[in-house]
Amino acid sequence: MAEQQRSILLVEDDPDHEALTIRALRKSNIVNDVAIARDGEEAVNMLLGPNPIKPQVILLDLKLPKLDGLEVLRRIRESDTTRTLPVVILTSSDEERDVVRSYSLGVNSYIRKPVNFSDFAEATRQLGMYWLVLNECPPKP
Amino acid sequence: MPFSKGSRIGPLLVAAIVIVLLNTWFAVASVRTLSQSEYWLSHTWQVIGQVEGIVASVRDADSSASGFVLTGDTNRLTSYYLARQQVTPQIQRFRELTSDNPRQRDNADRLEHIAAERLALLDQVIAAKKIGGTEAAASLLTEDASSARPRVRPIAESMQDEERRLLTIREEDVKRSTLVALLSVAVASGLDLLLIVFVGRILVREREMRMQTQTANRELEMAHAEVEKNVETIRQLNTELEERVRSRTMELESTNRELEAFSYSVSHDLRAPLRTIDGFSLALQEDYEEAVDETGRDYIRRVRSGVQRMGGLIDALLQLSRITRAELSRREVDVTALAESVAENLKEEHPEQQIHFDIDPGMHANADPDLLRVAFENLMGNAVKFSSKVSVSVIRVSYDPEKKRFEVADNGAGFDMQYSSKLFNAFNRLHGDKDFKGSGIGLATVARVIHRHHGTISAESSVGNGARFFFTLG
Repeated sequence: MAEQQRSILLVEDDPDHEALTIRALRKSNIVNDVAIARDGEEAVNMLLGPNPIKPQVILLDLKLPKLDGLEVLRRIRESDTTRTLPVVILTSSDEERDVVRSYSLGVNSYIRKPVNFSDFAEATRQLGMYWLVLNECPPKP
Repeated sequence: MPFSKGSRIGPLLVAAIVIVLLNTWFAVASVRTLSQSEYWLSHTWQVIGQVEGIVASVRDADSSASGFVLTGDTNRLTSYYLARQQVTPQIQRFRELTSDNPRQRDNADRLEHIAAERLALLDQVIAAKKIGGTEAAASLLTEDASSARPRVRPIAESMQDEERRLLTIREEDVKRSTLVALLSVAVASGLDLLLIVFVGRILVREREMRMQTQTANRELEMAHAEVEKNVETIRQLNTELEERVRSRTMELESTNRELEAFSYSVSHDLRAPLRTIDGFSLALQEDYEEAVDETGRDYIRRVRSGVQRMGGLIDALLQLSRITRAELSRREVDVTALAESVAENLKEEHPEQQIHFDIDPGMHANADPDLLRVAFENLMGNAVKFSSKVSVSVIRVSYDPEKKRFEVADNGAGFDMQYSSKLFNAFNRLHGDKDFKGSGIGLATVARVIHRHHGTISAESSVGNGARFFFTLG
């Protein structure tokens, strides 16, 4: 239970990226449990389904099968139980409209995945440190 | 008729009427002069008749008195008184007739006097006959006949002579007046005739002109109709054109949307596998360094450097497509501050290179700040890149207020002007990758920024002598 409290939900349809992200987290000595959702529907089910998880932070890709990232974000912010969850968009796109829409839907952070993996690993490390260590989450109801 | 020619008829008509009236007046005046002259002529004859009458009355009285003396017939006496009575009113009448002529007045006085003397004598003779008989009366007559007393006849003749003199004058007058009247009537008629001909001609001309204007009007109407038709055609063409523009715009919009989707997809999907390649090659490098030899490690480095280049290309392409799509919002831009901030970034990015920036103070422009920054980043970045092989890069950013153009100059490798036309096209490069790395998109992006501002861009260079880029912002 305590582990689940400090977990990360990674919403990522590309297994390669999933492996690389987890590697980068581990390399940064972030050992928190990482839950994986392969598409938007799965992510919504995990968060709002019969057995909801309560991750510390959600790393959300924008381009996803079934429900896209923005739709997942909208559902998270619509529901009372998930409204206050920190959500970080982690995407390849740096299209301005995506940034604008994400923030208007209430995202907490928007990170563009750099192509250079060293840069990406560094970004992931900082991300983990910030949201899992530094950031104070809202108290549980 | 709405034409100004009509107004010329008015004064002409007035002039014609005046001329006709003047002619008529002149003719009437000469006829009146003629009748006046004729009146005087008949008057003269009347006067002559009057004198004749006076003379006749006196002679009648004379002969009646003589007859009475000779015969004693009282009938003769009656006719004497009859004649005698007539003399005074006749002279009176003569006076009236000749009141205008002083000479005749004198004559009348003399005639009256002589007649009165004569009648007085005849009265005496008649009285003598009644009292003393024929002898005494006859002696009175005889005495008188021998006396030097003036007679009625000569004075009457002188009077008639006077009237005859007047008669000749008046006959001359009549003749002249007749001539003048004839002439004036003839002249007036002639003038009227001329006037009629003249007015007629004007009317004919007027009609011709009206017909001409009518023809011209009809032609104008036809031309007008033609123009109307053309306007209608143009309007139709315009509508078609608008329709076509609308459909083209729609096509263009849909193309734009496709392009947007494409670039979005490029931005997302093209980067993802690249990052995978880069990530796993890095993992390979880090985790299995000992498992491969130096050649293997070199290959891994080459894979990663290829990935980096590909990433740079994708970024440059996205920037180019974004500049084409972005809405242009112009405002006042502090170009000096912008160039200085770009210069700072470049110095940070190239710590190994000695760069001296020379940026004009106080440069301003009305432009889209984001797009202008992209242009300066590319131009100044190029300057840094192509001057990386000289000991100190000198990069000058300046503004020429006369030509209203900005200039970015460097002391780098330069290029051959022979290929300058290729400079601003995407993917066209003047340097090989072994000399200077690049996407071949930077200058195309700059050109697009400048063109979106309706400005112009050009370059001047020669190999080994640096390059100068000039641009205006419309």
